[in-house]
Parts: sequence; structure tokens; C-alpha cells
Amino acid sequence: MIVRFERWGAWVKLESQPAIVALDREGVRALGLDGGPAWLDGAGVSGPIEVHMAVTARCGAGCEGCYLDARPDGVEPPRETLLGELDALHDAGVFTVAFGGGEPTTRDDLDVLAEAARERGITPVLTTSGLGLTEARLERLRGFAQVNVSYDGASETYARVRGFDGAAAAERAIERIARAGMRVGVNVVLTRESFPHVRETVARARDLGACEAQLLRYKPAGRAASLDYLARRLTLDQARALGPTLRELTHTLCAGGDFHVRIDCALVAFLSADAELANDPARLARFGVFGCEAGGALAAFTVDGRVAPCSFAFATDLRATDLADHADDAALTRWRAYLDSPPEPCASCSLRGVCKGGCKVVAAHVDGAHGPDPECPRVASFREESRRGNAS
Amino acid sequence: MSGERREPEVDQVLRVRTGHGANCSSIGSVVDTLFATAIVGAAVFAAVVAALKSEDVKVVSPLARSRDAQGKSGREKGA
Repeated sequence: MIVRFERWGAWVKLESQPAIVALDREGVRALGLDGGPAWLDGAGVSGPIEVHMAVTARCGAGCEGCYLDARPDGVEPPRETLLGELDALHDAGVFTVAFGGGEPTTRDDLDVLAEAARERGITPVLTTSGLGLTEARLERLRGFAQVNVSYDGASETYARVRGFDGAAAAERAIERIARAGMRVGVNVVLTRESFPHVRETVARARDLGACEAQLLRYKPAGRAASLDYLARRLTLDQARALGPTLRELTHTLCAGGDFHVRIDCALVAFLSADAELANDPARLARFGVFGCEAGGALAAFTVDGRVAPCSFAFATDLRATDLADHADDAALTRWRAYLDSPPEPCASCSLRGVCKGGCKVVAAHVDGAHGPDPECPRVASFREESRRGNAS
Repeated sequence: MSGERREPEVDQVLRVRTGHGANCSSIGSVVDTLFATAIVGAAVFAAVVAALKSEDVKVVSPLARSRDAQGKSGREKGA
């Protein structure tokens, strides 16, 4: 296992099982370790444990909502550049690197990059559309701890999210990756049209051999940062239904313990509408649920070698190769600082410490502000009550 | 190592994030454990604690970059 000291104890990445653990100082001492300088007053800011690295902006799929605005003639950084960025992840003590793009499988050196990550003690994972997955490309995936295929549902549902029907290709990819003995998961983008089908989508993915489904909120970045976003995002009722939906998915699909459901950081805010979860934030924290970790436990490397708080946010001026200097970057500091004194209704929210204010990318697009997530059910109710109060 | 190694107490484990999280655009968290029975939840933590006791240890020190006068990476200095 790999131990990374933090002011409060240490992050530990286990090797015998896919898990990252936060241990308090006493727990670390139980391992016979001492945090040394990291435990002194004034120790540095905690760096990312996971980084999302765009290894290409090249992609021929043309998804309508692509957050990177990837194109067939997109930029592809040379291998040497990416190896330098992996060195930076190593120096910053990052545990996991998720390769994406663009379509990362268009690179003919993916296997080399995966091996390079492992040589640096970093677990490499990857997201692909599954389109054009030739035998050669499939073999280059073997070095990854897990590969996720974008799969938003059966044909019509998939087409409504991405603008073309790539469902059959994605399903074939899931099946082939699983048959090849690799861990495969799916990423399911939730729009108002895909949400009603999420149960059958996740069940289908499991039947095809996926070990995990990650539900993703549709976000206004890249080609999705348009007026059309407002017509595609989840409705407020759908946002409120997330908790019960997750409960149902768990009970119907995860009982065997060999299939798991994940949600992304931006969906955590929607759990504020679920009384059972909202009343037990300690449970969410203990089971490692992460809300907005942009600039904190999460960072992204853009295709032109800059650090961004997350894949959907604008890049900072910090070069990816200087990631270890993250604590001094003003933009990243601003993202981290939201939690220090958030406005209402975040300030009094029971999930504040987990959710961390919801998705700031959505807030910037919809409200033009780095503030509370306007699509969070709690925020929406707060604003509605404020409007009524002002009107009366 | 600075002392004798033993199994950490379960309540010294602040968080457990399971799975690899292979999405490249937003950080994800396993949530089915939130709805699992107390027995299943306890089993997750018990497995983690057992692994913490038994796995070989490598220590990384990302803060070392600015403090290491020789400019060496702080990674894998040994425990």
C-alpha cells in the first residue's frame, strides 16, 4: 500500500483491493508510521489524489454534448509531454490517473502510458466511447485497472444524449472488454431523456459484463455549454428522485456484491432531497462520497498541459508539470475556499462538508457566479421561498 | 517505520473509497454501500483494516518538493 501523509493523518491506497482509505493520526501510528513535517502546524495544502488527464482532443464521434469539444483533427500531445505530466503526478503523490480525451484509444501508445503510470506507483484507468475498438486497441487496454465505456442507454436513449446511435458499438465494447478479462464499467450521462431509462440502462450494462455503473450529471462545458443545456439537464423532480432511484438500483442490481453503482461529484448535491441521506452526512463521509473536490482531491490536466480544477472548469495558468505547486495557485485556492464561508443555503446544509456546494461549473453557466449549485433541490427550494417572501 | 505495527481500530478509519473510479471527467463515489445493511458496511471496513495490517508499506511525501534542498522527488522514501 502507498501512504501519503496529510495534516489529519494519511491517505492510504491499498494494493490488495481497489480502495483508498483515510486514516486519522492514531490509525497511522498503529501502522508504525509518523507523519513528521506533514503533521506540524502550517503544513501544506492537501493535493489531489485523482487527476483526469486529457491525452488527446482527437475524436470522430461528434457527441453533441462533448465537454472538451473534441474533433477528428484535435490536438494530440506527444508521448514525451505526457510522460513529463506523469512525473508531475508522481511528485505530487497522486494515486489515480484517469485517461480521457477526446477518444484516448486513438493513441497507439496507450499501453506505454499505462505502464509508465504504474512504474510511477499511479493506478491508470481510462474512459472510452468504445467506438472503433479494434483488436489492437483492445490489447492496449490491458495495463489499465479499469476501463469505462460511455453508455447512456439503448439505441434511442443513447442517440438522444449524444446525437447519434452508438449504443450497439458501446455494448459490443463492454462485452469484449469483459470477455478479455479486464474490469469494465460504464459511464451513464443523465439527461432528462435518459434518466427515465436509467434502471434498464444499468441492468443492461451489468448483463453485458460491466462491474460498475457511474452515473454522471450532464454539465454545461464544451459543446454542452449552450442554451440547449437548459432543455437537456435533469428536471427538478428528477433531481429530487435521485436518492430513491439509487436505492432501487442498489436493491435490484447490487445485492450480489459484484456490481456497484457510483455517482459523480456533481450529483451529490441532489442527495439533499433525500431525507435519510441528508440526515446522515457522517455515513456519506465515512463511505467516501466526494462532492465538489475541484482544486482539492481532484485536478484535471488539459490537452495543452495546464491544470484545471476539474475537467469541466477553465484551466488555470499552472502548468501540469508544476502540479506540486498547486497550493500556491490562486485559482485553485479560490475553488478550495468555497467551503470556508459558503452563502445560504449551503451554509446551513447538513451535507455541506460532503457536497461542498455542488457543481460550480453549472453555477457559473446558469447563474454567472461561483456560488451555490442552482439545480440542487435545496437551493431551488431556498430561492423559491425567497421569491415568495419578497413578493409578499 | 517509527514503531511497532498493529491493526488500526475501525474508528480510526475516517473514510473508505472503494473501486477504481474509471471516469475521466468527474470524480465518482460508490453509493450502493450507503444503502447496504450494517453487516455489509462493517465487512467493508473489516476488510480494509485487515489489509492495512498486512500490506507492504511505501510512503510518499508530496510536500517534500519544496522542502528537499537537493530537489529530489519525495516519493517512495521508504517507511
